Amino acid sequence: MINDDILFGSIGELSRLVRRGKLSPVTLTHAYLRRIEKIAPKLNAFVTVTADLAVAQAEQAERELRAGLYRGPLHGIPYAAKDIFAVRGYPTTWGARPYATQKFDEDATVIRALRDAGAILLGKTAMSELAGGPPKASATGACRTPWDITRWSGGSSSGSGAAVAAGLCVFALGTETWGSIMTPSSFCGITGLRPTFGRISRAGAMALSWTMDKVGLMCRTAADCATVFSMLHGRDEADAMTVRAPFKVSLTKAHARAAQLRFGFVREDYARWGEQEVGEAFVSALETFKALGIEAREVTLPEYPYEAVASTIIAAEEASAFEPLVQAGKVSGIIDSDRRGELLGGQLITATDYLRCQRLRTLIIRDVMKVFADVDIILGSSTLSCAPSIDAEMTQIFSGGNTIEAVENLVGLPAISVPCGFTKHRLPIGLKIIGRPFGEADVLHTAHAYQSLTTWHKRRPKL
Amino acid sequence: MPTLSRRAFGKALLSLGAFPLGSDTLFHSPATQISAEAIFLPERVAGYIMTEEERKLAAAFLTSHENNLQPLRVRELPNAVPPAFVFASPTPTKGEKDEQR
Repeated sequence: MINDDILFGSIGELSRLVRRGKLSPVTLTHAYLRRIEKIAPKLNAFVTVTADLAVAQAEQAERELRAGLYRGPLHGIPYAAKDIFAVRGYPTTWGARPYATQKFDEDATVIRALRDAGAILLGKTAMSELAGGPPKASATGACRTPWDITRWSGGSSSGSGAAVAAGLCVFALGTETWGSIMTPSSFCGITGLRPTFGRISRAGAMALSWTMDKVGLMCRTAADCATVFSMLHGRDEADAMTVRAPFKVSLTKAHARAAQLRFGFVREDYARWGEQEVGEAFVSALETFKALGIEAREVTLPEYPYEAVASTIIAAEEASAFEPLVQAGKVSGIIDSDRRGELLGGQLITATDYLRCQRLRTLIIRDVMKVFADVDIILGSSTLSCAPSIDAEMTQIFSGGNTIEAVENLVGLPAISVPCGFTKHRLPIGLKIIGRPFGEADVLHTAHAYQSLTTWHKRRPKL
Repeated sequence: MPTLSRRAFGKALLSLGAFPLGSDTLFHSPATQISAEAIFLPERVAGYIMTEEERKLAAAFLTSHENNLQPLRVRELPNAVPPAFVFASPTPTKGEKDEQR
């Protein structure tokens, strides 16, 4: 009998049991499929459950493990993937009605890599339509956080966040262009890693913005993120933006490694732009770091109109990415009217405006990197407020803008969101740990050290 | 709207210190309102003829876009500043392998 302790287990815990023959991948997969059937509809977490594929992959894993073929720590581990990734033989809807029946002949690179690692795909998770928009803007309806099903799980990797938090899979794939991993990780109380731009191949994933899209991981712990990241990062000829760079992580020495780093934090006006409880949780997190001998000092980011630059780049690139949708006269199928306007109006953004923003981005990258001359890690809140109502509009959700996220995504910095507290209404609060480019190991050492001193990431929602 | 007046307007904003962090989305200039009629010709240049409803949505987006961009346009960019199509590169490594412990 599989209990909740197993279903909420980490990759490390489950992998040990699977490898020793104490946990059957087939039994584990059926348990997750039953839980998905029971709970996922309450959350609108899944678009497609790939039950047949999952059982076939689980049976293969079990056969291989019995025969002594061990593929690594993801062998026999069930996961879910945002419906932005192509999976051969199944619909890939991108969360949008005009693509409801779209299918691809090839798996996305990351799906193939996880298959080769022996992982088991349970299904494709819900997402904001074309990776953006308010809670209602999804072909499967607003996805809900398991902590309070009247509230949004965040976007655009909405279902991946909800599924991990609800114990519907061990980990999930997500993507981020501007906040799409950090936000749902925060709203759902899970650990989400957004790697450096170019670290993980996007081949086979929907393009929203070629110069800002990143593939990332949504897990229970930083250690799990390290495990999955180690399987997926690297150069892929199918994605010209990918780079090869070593990843050297030593979680057994995480405290010592983190203590060697220099920490900064960005001061936020929670009272004005967010929630006071989020600010208090952040201050409390800074105190926890002091127990590690880490004292963060305030840093100031250079002044730029980050959000205008980011939004123009994304609007221009998505207008090109979805030009066929516009030309086919099918924009009316997009739920969010603001997004329809963006896709249509984006066709008229001038090349000089787009290039002006990309040139300003050059200056932004140069000046933000100067901040990293004095610090290795910047700490902040993943979001300034907690999960909003599923009826909220974007202007309410990000009433103070989304500036830090714009900075990180324009520069392509890695970051991880870890739970750092709960509000009096039992809503999770996220702490963000931002590193320098290709500093995933620094980010993960810091997050792992923090999670070894706290238990926020072990809390489970009542469902 | 002529480029010169946009620049003049933006420079005035700069002189008022209108670039604090996080302020750009809050910035709403009354200076520019793009009407649906105004994009009738540009949409032909772009190669897509919109419906009336689409034109209204596009005009609403372009009004917001234009007002966000006004402060950016006054920022002088030296000729030597290229677009950011090449991002930070990892430290060169020769034959280094991953390590996970």
